[in-house]
Amino acid sequence: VRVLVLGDRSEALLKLLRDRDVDAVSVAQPVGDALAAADVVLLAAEHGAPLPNAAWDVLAAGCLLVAPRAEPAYGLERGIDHLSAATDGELADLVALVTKFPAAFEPVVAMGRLMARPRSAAT
Amino acid sequence: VSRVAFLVEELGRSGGMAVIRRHARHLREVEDMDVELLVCGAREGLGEEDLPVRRLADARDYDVVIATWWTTAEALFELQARRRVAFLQNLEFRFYREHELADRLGALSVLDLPVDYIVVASHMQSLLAELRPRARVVRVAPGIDKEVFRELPPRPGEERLRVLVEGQPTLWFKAVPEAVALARSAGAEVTVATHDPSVEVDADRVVGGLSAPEMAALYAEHDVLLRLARFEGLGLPPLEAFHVGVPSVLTPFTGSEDYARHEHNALVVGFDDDAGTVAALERLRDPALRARLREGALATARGWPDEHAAGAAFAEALRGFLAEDPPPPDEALRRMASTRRLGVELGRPLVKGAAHWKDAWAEADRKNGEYDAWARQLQSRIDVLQSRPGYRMERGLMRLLRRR
Repeated sequence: VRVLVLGDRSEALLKLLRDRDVDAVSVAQPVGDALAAADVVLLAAEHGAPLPNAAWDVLAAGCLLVAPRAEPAYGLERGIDHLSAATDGELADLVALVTKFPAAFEPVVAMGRLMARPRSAAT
Repeated sequence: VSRVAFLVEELGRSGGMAVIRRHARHLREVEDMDVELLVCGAREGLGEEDLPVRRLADARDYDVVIATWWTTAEALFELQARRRVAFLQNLEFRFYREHELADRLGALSVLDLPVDYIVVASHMQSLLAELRPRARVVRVAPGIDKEVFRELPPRPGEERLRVLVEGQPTLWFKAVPEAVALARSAGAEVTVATHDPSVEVDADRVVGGLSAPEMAALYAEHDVLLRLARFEGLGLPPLEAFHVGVPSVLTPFTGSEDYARHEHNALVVGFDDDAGTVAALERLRDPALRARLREGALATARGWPDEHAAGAAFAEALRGFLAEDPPPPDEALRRMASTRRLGVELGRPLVKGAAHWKDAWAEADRKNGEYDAWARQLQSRIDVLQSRPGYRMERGLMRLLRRR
C-alpha cells in the first residue's frame, strides 16, 4: 500500500508515520503522477479548517483520503467517503490501520470516488 | 405463478414504503404474481393493508424473497426461497453518523450478501459494480404517477419568490432548517412540507400528512423546490415537482445526477455554499429564467417512467433473476470478511478506551487504598499523642485558663 502525504505540514506527519513503521513519500501540491502512484493520501492540512480543494483530486484519483477533521467538509462525511481524526497521532494511526487491512476500506474508497464525480463533471 | 415476499421492518407511511407497496401491487395486479408483505418487526402491528400481510413467523416458502431494509436482510436466509434479493432505495449505512458505528456497519453489510440487487439510482449501481463486480444489479427507478403529478400553470411572477422545502426537519441529512434559513436570507416566502408538521421550524407555513394530489397542488403554489440534502437514494420530490413544472435549487446529492441538469431544469449549488444558494434563489426572481427552467423540468418529466413502467421493470428484474442461477457466494464472502475486519479494527479504539478507563480506575483505587492507609496511620499517631500524660495535662490547664 503506497502512502502519500500531501500538503505543507508533511514533515511532522511523515515522522509520525515512520514511528508506526509506515513508509510514505510527500509532495506539497497534488500532482497527477503522485496521486496516480498512491493508494492512500494523508492530507497534511490544518485541523478544523475548511476541506482543501486537493481533497477532491485525491478522491477522483481513487485514493483513500485520510484528512484532519474539516469544517465545512462540502458534502463529505467522515467514515463514509474518507477517514478523519482530531489529532495528527490519530491520523497516523488510521493510515497505519489502512496499510494493514486495505480491503476493509474498499467501500470508503468507492464512496469517495462517487462523491468526487459531480465535481469532476462540473470542472 | 411466482410467489414473492417483500420483507419489511414495519408497515409505515414513509416514501420508501410507498414505493414498496406500489411494486407489490403491480406484481399482484398486473403481473399476476402471488405477493405478500412479511413484517419482520415482532412488535409491529399489521394494520390495514390492501395487500396480504403476514408475520415472519408465519412465512411460507417463496420463489423470491426481497429484503427492503438492512435489518430485514438476515430474514432472507431464514426463509425457503429460490432467489434472494436486496431492494436498495438508499445506501442505508449513510443514515448513521460516525458515533453510530454498529448501525453503520450493519447497514453496510447488506452490500456483502450472496443475493441479487435491485437499486433505484445509478450511483448505487456504480458502487456495487466497484465492490461487487460479479453481483447482478438491476436499476429500477421509481415511477411517477403522471395522472397526479402533471403540468399545472405557473404562479404569476409579480409576488415575492415562494420557496418550498420538503423533508422532515429532524433528519440531519435532509438539511431542512438550513434550507429554510437560506430561503429566508434570500427574502423568500417559505413553506415546509413534512411528515410531522408539529416539528418547530422557522417557516411561513408548515404543512404535513399531504396526499399525492395535495402535494402536487402544493408544488404548483411555489416557484421553486429547494433541496439541500446531504445525500439521497434518488430524491423523488424534485422529480415530482418537475412533473408539475416547478424547477429545483439543489445540492448535488447522490441520486440527483439521474435527473437534475444545472441551468436546464435546476440550479445546482455546492454543499455548504450558503452564498451560492442565496444567489441562486435570488436569480430565480427573473421570470425568464424561471420559464426556461420550467421547460427543462417538464422535458425531464416527460422522459421519466410512470408507475406502470417502473412496476414492469421490477417484475422483469425478478424474472431475470429466476431465469439464471443464484449468485455464487465467494465474492460476497470475501466482502463479508472485509466488513467484519473493518468492524473489528474500527472497534479497537473503543476497546483501547475501555482499557484506559479500566487502568485509570485501578490506579485511582490503588491511590485511594494508599490514602486510606495513610489516613489510618495518621489517626493512630494522633490517638497516641492524645493519650500521653503531657497532652492530657495541657488540655486540663487550657480548660482552667478559659474559666478565669
